[in-house]
Amino acid sequence: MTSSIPAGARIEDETLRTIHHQCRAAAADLPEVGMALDRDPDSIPDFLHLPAFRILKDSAMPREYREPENLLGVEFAGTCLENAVMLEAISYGDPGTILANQGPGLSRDLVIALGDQAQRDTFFTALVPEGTWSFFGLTEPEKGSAALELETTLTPAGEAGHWLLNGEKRYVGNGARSQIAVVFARRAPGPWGVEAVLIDTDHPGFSGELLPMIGLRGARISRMRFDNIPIAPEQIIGRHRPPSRRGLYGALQALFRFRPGLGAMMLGQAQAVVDYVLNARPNLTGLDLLRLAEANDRLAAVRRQVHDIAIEADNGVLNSHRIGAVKMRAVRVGEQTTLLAAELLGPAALVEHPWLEKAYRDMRGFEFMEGTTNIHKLSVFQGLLKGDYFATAPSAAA
Amino acid sequence: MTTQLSTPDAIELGVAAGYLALLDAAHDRVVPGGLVANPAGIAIASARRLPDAPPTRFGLAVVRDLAPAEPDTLAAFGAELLAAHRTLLRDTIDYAIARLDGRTSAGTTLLNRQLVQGALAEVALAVRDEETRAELEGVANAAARRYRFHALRTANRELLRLLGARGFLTDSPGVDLHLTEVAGSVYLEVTA
Repeated sequence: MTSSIPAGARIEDETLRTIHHQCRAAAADLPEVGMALDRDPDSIPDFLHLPAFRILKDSAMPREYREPENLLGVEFAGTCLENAVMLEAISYGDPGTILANQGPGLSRDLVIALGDQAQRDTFFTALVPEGTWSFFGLTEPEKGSAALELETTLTPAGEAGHWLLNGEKRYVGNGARSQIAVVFARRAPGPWGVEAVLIDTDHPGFSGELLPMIGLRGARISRMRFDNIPIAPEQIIGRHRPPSRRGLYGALQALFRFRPGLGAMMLGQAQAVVDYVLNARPNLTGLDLLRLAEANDRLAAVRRQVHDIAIEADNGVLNSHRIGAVKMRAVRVGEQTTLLAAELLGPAALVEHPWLEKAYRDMRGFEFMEGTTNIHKLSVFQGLLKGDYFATAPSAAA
Repeated sequence: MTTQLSTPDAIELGVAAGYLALLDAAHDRVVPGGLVANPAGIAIASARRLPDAPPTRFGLAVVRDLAPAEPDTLAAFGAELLAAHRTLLRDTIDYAIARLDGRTSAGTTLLNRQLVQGALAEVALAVRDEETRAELEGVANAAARRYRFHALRTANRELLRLLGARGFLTDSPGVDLHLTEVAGSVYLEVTA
């Protein structure tokens, strides 16, 4: 089964085309799975054998921990662009299933980039068995993901280099069901006093609780508490690096590299919404058809921006202003697409089309992930002040 | 590790008495003891009011194959829904002000941020515009009610952006705001 390359995409080589086609094919199972997870998020183990879940997990694992037969014949190099193409294609089926999936998640890049070999082994080996999850513990109650204002602490435990972890995290995907995690905590004042620590959630000082969410329920967004969890020196990720090149630096690098993929997820869902409307209303004409075509154009424009910043990241350029802007625009175009669909499908669309009603709820959840719209607007402004927002000089063409 | 799990039932039934009470009351004011059906014969109300209908999410129940309401009845009910939506938005503005005043970042409350103040003002302006339109009883056809619903829906989304992740929890005003959009989809997304 093949699907056409979406408008605006920079899918220009055979590997990317294969990723797109294979993942779109694997996504065919996911609308139904997404509905099942919406009813019961705990049913996820029933679906982990499906190709979409396997390729998502194994493409995120370093080569030495992968099961290559799960990769559907794709030789993943681990680029941001590959990730964006894969996540959009899978999200065409259901983006919530990506957030529900097992595997290294958002912690992946941080552990690979900053961890020593023993830490990489600990983290990825723990995730090899089926049914193991991880979480990325950054966001805190009342502080969101303001990394500089973290209140979770590491306090000296007596023996030199040993610490006690105390505090609370909130709005973290898969938090309550993870076996292993990266948790950010403050060891000392200032930006370089934040450390990322690797923890095993089997410790009695860890507790997790699900938060009842309006949508994206498969992600099992959670609140976690840490009560005097001992942290040994070997659990400080990147301990062989200077403080300015681990901890907060690692968090930001991971977030910046992940955001193009997050934008791609919203585009996948929004594209599915557009196609759903076209299938349900094949006789749309006039202004209604124009509005849908215009939504499709906006999706293509944001897709191009997502792919451009992914390529920049793969070339070593992490421009936080452009990255945040693209995430923000994907949220907006995704939301506008679901609102438009509810209008074009006519009266009672949100009770007569349960799949659309779920997409309509889920799409809202992306607003607060990885920084809200207002946070990214402020970042764009800072980029303007620095002359660092626009990638190129203005064009003379009209 | 201790993990406290939610159940689907708790999510289905545990919340959203606020808007559902307004919705039920709107039915009663327009058709005492009865239900108003949209032009396709669909009606929604609280699961408490419709115990025999299968409940959908957030305590909402749907019944189908009813006799569609007469245009005047539907117009009166649409006006009631818009009024309920305005009431809910005003309550949620108060909630947002209290919540944003209680959150601090970089040494000040979020409510002190110009961007936040402007966004809240925008919502208040939209509600006031809509209150005035209701008062003037100008164009009263289905298309006008539809556009007025869309304006309030835009205000919903602006407020929800300000509430961040909190507004995505089922014990937040986010549920009631979602239900205004479901009700609008059923009764106000109608052009004739």
